[in-house]
Amino acid sequence: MQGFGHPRSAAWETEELFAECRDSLIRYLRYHMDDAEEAEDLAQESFIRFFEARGRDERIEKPKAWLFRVARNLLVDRGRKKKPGLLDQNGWTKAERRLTVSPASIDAKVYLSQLPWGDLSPMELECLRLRTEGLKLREVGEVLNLSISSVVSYLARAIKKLGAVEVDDKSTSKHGTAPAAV
Amino acid sequence: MIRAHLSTEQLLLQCDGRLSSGPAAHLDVCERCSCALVELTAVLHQAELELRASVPEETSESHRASWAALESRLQTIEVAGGEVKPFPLRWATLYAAAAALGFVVIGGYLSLEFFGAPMQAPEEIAGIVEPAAAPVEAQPVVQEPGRTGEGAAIEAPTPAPNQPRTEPVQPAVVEPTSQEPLPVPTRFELAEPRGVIQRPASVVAAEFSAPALELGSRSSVVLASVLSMTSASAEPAVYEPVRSQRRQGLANLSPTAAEAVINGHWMLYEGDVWREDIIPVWTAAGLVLRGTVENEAARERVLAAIGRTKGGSDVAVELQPRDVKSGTSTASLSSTRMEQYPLGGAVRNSLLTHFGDTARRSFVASEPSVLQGEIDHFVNEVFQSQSELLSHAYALKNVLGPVDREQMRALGLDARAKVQKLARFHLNAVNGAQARIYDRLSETLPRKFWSYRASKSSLAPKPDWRSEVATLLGDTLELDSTLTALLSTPESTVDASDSNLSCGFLLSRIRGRVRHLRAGTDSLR
Repeated sequence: MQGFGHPRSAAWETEELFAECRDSLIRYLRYHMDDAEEAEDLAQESFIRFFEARGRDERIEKPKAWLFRVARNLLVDRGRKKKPGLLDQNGWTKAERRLTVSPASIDAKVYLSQLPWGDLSPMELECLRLRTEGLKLREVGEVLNLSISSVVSYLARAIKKLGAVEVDDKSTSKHGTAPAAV
Repeated sequence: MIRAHLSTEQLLLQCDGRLSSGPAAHLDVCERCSCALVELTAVLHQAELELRASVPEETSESHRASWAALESRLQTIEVAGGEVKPFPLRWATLYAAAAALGFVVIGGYLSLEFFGAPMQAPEEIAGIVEPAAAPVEAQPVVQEPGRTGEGAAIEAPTPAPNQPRTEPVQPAVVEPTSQEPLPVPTRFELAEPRGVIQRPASVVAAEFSAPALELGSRSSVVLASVLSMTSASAEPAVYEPVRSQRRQGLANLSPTAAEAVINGHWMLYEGDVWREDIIPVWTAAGLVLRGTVENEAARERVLAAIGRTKGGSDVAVELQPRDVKSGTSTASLSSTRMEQYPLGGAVRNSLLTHFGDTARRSFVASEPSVLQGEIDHFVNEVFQSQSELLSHAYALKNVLGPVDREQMRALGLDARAKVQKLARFHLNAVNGAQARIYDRLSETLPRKFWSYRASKSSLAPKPDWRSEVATLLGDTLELDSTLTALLSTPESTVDASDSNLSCGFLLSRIRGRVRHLRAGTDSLR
């Protein structure tokens, strides 16, 4: 999708963004809440915010990251107001619990969990979720208000915990662990 | 050149396309880092699959309903300052403009296409304003004194201010009369509007029907080859594809004719050309082996094979070379499927894990190219066995499909023995192919991918072998599509096991059908 700085119709842009991001946004929200209707409400609210912002000619460089950030803020707000228990322990305990997949909750033919999700910290899990929803590293950083190097560090830790083979940690000293060469 | 291995962070940056050129160049030469990148990608894939499996999947219905709800909400929104136009008005304007533009374009094209000559400028304008656009025949030729020939004619469209203008010559447009057809090609040769590439309808139609015409011209004459038949069968006839022809049921034939048809099947089997798209058909002139082959060389081979096995019987052979591009050859089926649909997703990850472990146990470096080669070999083996299974199931249906057991008892002992032997041959091959597929799948892939649903239903024997054979072929086709879905999953697909029936279930059904058919055909004699 093109950048959204062009003076195009806000409705047009909203429709394009909806077609591109709606399913992944709903999925992202459903990671954090059981109620499908509530997730749908939050997603619609996010799109309306986008429509209004573009109607005011606000410049939005990365609409997908913007949308996810708004949705995440709405999620946090709603969690604080309505369900205090939802976002306890750094905000994502319940979301974490969702990943202990029970065979009864899904079709038996689908995968049983093979990865050790319980080892991941909330922020590592959040980075991984956003990454798997198609957001680039910089976009993940914008959603979570983190730098790229932080996002990369979180993701690397998550992947190591999930079982990826490390090449050689000692030999990486020449480049350093922080991704300076970006 | 950077010699240190890359960190996981750098591999992640490489996945995002953000790694700087130095470390990225290291990836090209270091197998260890390439393997680590492959494994990291595999973990990300697996994580994506498991995350998505943990929430209900969104459907297109819910997507549509969600958009309808959002649209109705957006319509009610009024942004401060009135910068956002009312929603319906904006869309209505857009749609109206698009529709009007479409009407103008289509109307203009149709008017050009069906109602006489294309738009032409008035005579004066055609000569002065757009001289370059005028057709060659219509160029006003002004001869300067002292200059003759081509150069003078080329300079004519830019007349001097005081130079007397000559009347432009109109193009010789042929006016259609009621008796004559429209001279469509001539019209476009004479005058072609600028900026629009106009093509006569006849040319367009010819292009659309070109393949059909080409096929027709080649297939209008049957390449009939009579081995020892009467001259009547050598007459050219219009070719009809064998698959579309109605199969000849032996029940409608006399016992002699039915035995001849069975003899035709036997000849194909003896000549080892039963895989070809050829069926024996009983006609008024006798037995005809009719079908298609891949090319001329295959035709010669088939004719030679049948000639060896026909003995003294009179058999006509009508073979039609088919288009090689149609992809009906089973030999290239597996490779074609592999090229079209690269294996990806969870199945690929699982295969990578399996072959990576195997390589480690064998003290072989688990390089990505080696692992990929192993995966390709595995997929190729499975698809080859599946192609074998399909060929034999089709052949079995050709042999046993047209007749049931009661009708078979009316035939001679020799014919029954041949049917029995043919059935055994194909059933054994079907059983062997399904066993090979089962072995390869079970030793390589976890059962959750290929044997996730077990059922004991639909395994009851059918009342007659015709329906049994038809069901066997149906199961084989179903297995084919399931295997294709399993092993040819594109990268973007989330769940590779989305088909209705699992491979394991279909394989067990095929085994059951083979058992029933063996029991049925063993008692033939």
